[in-house]
Amino acid sequence: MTRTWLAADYHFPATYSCRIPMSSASHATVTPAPGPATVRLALIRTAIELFGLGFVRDKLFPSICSLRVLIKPPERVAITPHRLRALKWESGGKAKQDRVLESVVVREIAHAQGHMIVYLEVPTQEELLYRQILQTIGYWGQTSSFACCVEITHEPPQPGTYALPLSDFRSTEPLQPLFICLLTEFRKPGLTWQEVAPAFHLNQRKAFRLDIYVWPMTVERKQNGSQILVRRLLE
Amino acid sequence: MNMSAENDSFPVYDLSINLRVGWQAHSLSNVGDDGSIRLLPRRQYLADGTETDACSGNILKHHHAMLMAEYLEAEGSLLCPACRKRDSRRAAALSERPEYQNIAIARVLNECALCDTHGFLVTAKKAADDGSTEARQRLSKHTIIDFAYALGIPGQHRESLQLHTRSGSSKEEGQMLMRVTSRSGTYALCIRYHCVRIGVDTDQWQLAVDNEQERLKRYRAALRAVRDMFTSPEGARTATMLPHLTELSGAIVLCGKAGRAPVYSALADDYLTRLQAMQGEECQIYSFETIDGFYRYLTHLSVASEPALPSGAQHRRTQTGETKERGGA
Repeated sequence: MTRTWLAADYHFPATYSCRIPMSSASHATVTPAPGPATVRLALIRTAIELFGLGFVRDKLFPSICSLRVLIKPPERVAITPHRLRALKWESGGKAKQDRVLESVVVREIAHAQGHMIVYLEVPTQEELLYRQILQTIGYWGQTSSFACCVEITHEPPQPGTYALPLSDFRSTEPLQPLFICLLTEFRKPGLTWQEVAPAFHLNQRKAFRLDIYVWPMTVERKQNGSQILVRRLLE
Repeated sequence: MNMSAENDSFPVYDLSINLRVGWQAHSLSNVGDDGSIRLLPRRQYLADGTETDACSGNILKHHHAMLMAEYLEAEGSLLCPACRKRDSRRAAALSERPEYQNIAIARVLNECALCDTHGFLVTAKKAADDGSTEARQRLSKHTIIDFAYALGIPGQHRESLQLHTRSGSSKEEGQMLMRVTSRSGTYALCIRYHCVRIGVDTDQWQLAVDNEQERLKRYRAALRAVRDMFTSPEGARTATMLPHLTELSGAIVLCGKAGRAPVYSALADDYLTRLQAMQGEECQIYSFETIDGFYRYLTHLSVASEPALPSGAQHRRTQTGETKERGGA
């Protein structure tokens, strides 16, 4: 099967918030751009909207699971923690009802300058389908994290410009100035629909694995809990 | 698709509003007092390192839901018991009631127009070992209307510190001094309304609310609520700091077929030019420069257009020859 690279440029027209997995719901820290599992899930959700559940489950799903996903973050990202009022579920336990408490939570919110690029290595015969899906994706992470696809090209990814799992990071340069966080990825390319399909099955977590990722971004400034990240090449 | 069309109602699949709004002397969104006597304003860093004033999208969304509920009730649309009481947990507030145990998504979407529009989440729950509580399946729908943070345009916002007094928590404490900020500025804001998702189970992308008149009522109520929330601002501390509304300009972007209405931040000075450059067969842009222009466009849009059907449902209806009257008024 021949494959081709698609590079989709996304503009973030407003603030956005893609939560780092395992960060507390009451103190949610964020990544500068979505991780690979978020991209795959967005592809599935949008494809269902465009082509219907049956077609995605039976035809497109295997290639969404197996294609290579690389993410180049925006040029600059500012991350600011916000205190928000939120509702928290408290499990009632034995013979008790659940309670909902109002609480103050912290959620980081990001603002980007420059485009984020999602690279997908798609089967050539499915290129048109993937172009349509990429064009239609309107958010990453939270639904209010607006994103707008402005261009799709055949540009292949340039080494050092995209986020990498720490295990694939071959450089001897110190990691400290780089932005590092946990991200989720599909556990294996051959996952089944039942393992992944959100909302249908409770054991969705088993479909994912957590990896430490290194972003091609350094922290330029930290102030009052906020940080400004700037893109650079991974050597 | 043409907003000036006199007779035929045109379908809208996706819609975005990109605008600049001028609020003077307001305190619409704050972060609390941080244990001090000062009520702190909300702040957001921009990517270029500028710190700017902000109003959270949460407060805008909450205000929209309150307004929309009023319109829905007036039009006779059904609301669930939680939404009738304006409980922001929506369907999740009903999960412990015996009659709402493990209910189907289609029932929630048919019985509550607000849960359908603003979304809800009933968390999954395991059964207790002793059998005292039953297992519960996760049930949810994402919101179909999204609000970005309103961000002050750099160089176009100011803050004044006001000294207020307020009563302490007991008589002995007497009056307390509080420092409250009043802020003035022009804010950039984006809203997106996925109107095709009205009455749709978006996980399986199935049309659950088959009554077109009901979908239309929900669509109109949502648009009217968007119109009203800007022409009559609401948020924190409006009881004594109702904002002076001095500017409302921007563009409404409509997409008639499957796809997304482009969203572009009014933080960029050329946002109208960029949006207008995208105008074409798939995307219509209607720009406005005044509050009355905004009001007229949204009022007209709510009357002259209708929510598009999801592609699958449209295809099925075409094949079976069903007409628009399905569901009845």
